[in-house]
Amino acid sequence: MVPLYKKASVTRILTVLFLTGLLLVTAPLCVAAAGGHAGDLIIGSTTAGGGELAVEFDFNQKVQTSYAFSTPTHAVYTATKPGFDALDHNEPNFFKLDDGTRVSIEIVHIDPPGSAKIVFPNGNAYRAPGTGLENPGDSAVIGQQGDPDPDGLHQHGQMQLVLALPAGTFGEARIVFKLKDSSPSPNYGDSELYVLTLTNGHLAPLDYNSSAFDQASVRCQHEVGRGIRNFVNRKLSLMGRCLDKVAAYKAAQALSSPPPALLSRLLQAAQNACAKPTGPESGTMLAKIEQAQQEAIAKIEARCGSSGSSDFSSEDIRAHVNMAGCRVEELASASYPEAKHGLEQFNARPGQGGNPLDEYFPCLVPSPED
Amino acid sequence: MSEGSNLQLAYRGLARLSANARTRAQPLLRRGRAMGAVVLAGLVQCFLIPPLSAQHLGDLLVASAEKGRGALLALYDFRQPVQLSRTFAQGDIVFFTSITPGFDALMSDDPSRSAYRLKDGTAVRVDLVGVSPGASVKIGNRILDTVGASVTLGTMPNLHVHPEWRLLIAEGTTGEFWIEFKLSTTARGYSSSPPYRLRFALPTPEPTLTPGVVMRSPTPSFTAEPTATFTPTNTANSEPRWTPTSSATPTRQETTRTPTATPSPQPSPTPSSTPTAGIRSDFNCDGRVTAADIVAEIAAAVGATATFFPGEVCGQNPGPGHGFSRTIADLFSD
Repeated sequence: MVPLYKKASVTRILTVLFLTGLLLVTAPLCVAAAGGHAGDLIIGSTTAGGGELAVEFDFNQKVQTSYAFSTPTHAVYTATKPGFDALDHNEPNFFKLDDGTRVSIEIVHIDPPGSAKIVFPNGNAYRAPGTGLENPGDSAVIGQQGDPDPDGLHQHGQMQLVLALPAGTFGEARIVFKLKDSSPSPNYGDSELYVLTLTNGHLAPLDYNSSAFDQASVRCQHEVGRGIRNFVNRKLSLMGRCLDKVAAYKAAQALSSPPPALLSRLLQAAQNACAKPTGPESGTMLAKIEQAQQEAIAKIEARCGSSGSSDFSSEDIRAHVNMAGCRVEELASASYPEAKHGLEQFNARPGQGGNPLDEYFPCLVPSPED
Repeated sequence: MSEGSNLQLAYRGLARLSANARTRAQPLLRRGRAMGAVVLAGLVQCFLIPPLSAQHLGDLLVASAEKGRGALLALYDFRQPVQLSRTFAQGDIVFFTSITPGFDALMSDDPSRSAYRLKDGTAVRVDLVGVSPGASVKIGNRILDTVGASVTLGTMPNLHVHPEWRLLIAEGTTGEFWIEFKLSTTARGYSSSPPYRLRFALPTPEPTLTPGVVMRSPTPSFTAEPTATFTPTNTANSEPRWTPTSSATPTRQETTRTPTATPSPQPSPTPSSTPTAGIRSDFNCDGRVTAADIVAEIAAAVGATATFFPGEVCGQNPGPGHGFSRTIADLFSD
């Protein structure tokens, strides 16, 4: 017969074993639940208790900013995501920091200068409210590992994309930064350099209605797709038609002794396709591209703006369409390596003091020979 | 010996055996209870307490007034203004922002405040019902700056959002800045919240209000100007910490930029972020709210306090809010 006390202890031990098992089974769920926001910049180190500071984040992912406000000379776009957070459990080759590790962020470079900044509107024990990082060398403490909120490493700043362009013009900026251990007795080396790209060209996810099928937002998304497809097709075909003629003219120029009549004919053809010197303004390539862009914007705004589903502001729609136009120019540069150089030879408004045509296509990429 | 005496002897024997067994089992029982406490603490922290690292102190917690139904609520001390910071300035345009308080879901029922966790799948919207000129809130890509504007906050249990509380004004503009909103949902059983007014506080006091008059600054700047001052305080590692004070001149900036003088006191006090002994969830009295407090709480509840925290009390007179005088029920009333 098993003595009573043994029976009791066996029961206790079994209970504890059961609970421990339950805890082990559920621990991963717990860790997942307790993590910071998905998509935050997660801070850890390269080795346990030492090594260099490191960030876990997909830096191919661009920070989606959206229109905030304009000044007479600048348009400002902001985002509060991604934030920063601490790694809360060790991973292969990525380790949780020791408690008490104070982590700072330092700006190494901003490209183009003055086009982006990180601001921490809210202060904590280590950082003043409103601390802004906008120049190389600027730094601020993010927080300290293990400290309770708001002094820990879970922090959200305001990413600002500051463009000296009219509101609704596509733009991107890159923030090159590193992390530093700013503890009184630093234990970790500086992180490698990371590049965070801010963009205003990506649309935010749609705000679908939860109570009824959101026909308005579905139509909005549909129009975004259709509008962008039509605009991209139109711009690419207009540019292609022009650049084909430019290529023919350049081929004639490459001849050791080009026949003047051929040169003249091909030049005229290229001018007609790229910057028609005669006829109404609406007949030029530039005017047609501009018209296609405005049509796309107007149709998307009608579906997605305040008179439609209210999913996007006018500025965000324009920046998105503008981005699509920019991508077309990049594509044209890839397909026609001499696109920029070729367009440079033509005046946007011949005889009217216009600028070289390539200046109206800011996303054209120069070929190595240019 | 009579049958009765035999029976008495037998009872006595059994009683002795039982007492003996209890004595011998006592250490094992204590150990088992202690281990159980640890395991229970882990489970409680994992599932019943909102994840500590994901939530922020002082967020607007979204709940309902009745369990599974009723009016939506935003749990927040609305007497406390949102402290804005100057985050952009160009010409005479100044942009003030704060990203706290955020919105988050109340993760467990709090009957003491008549606040209940919303049912999973409940989508919550924020509707702007009033706004002062220049004030707005940006949630995701949506700027709510006109009455009637609204945006989806999220769907339970994912209501954690960091809005930008914004004020875009001309330099020197003064007045009362606020936004008024309500929470709404189309989920069955729930109704809209009452309107809540969130007031904004600027980082520096402005001259006396003259309604409608905008004052211009003679020296526009393009940089954000933190206005808190940097004063060393006594901390464990003797490192200086940021402490909002009413000191007239900043003595040191945490950024490496040259500090810009902002010779004016803070208009409203900001709660100190220094951990304070005596905060309600600080069960083990170390001045911080950590997992150890949860362990202390559970240990106290199952009677293992002496094993884990022998004599652990917050000072001479712990009071009802500290140490092992608290119970699990208290944990959920915080």
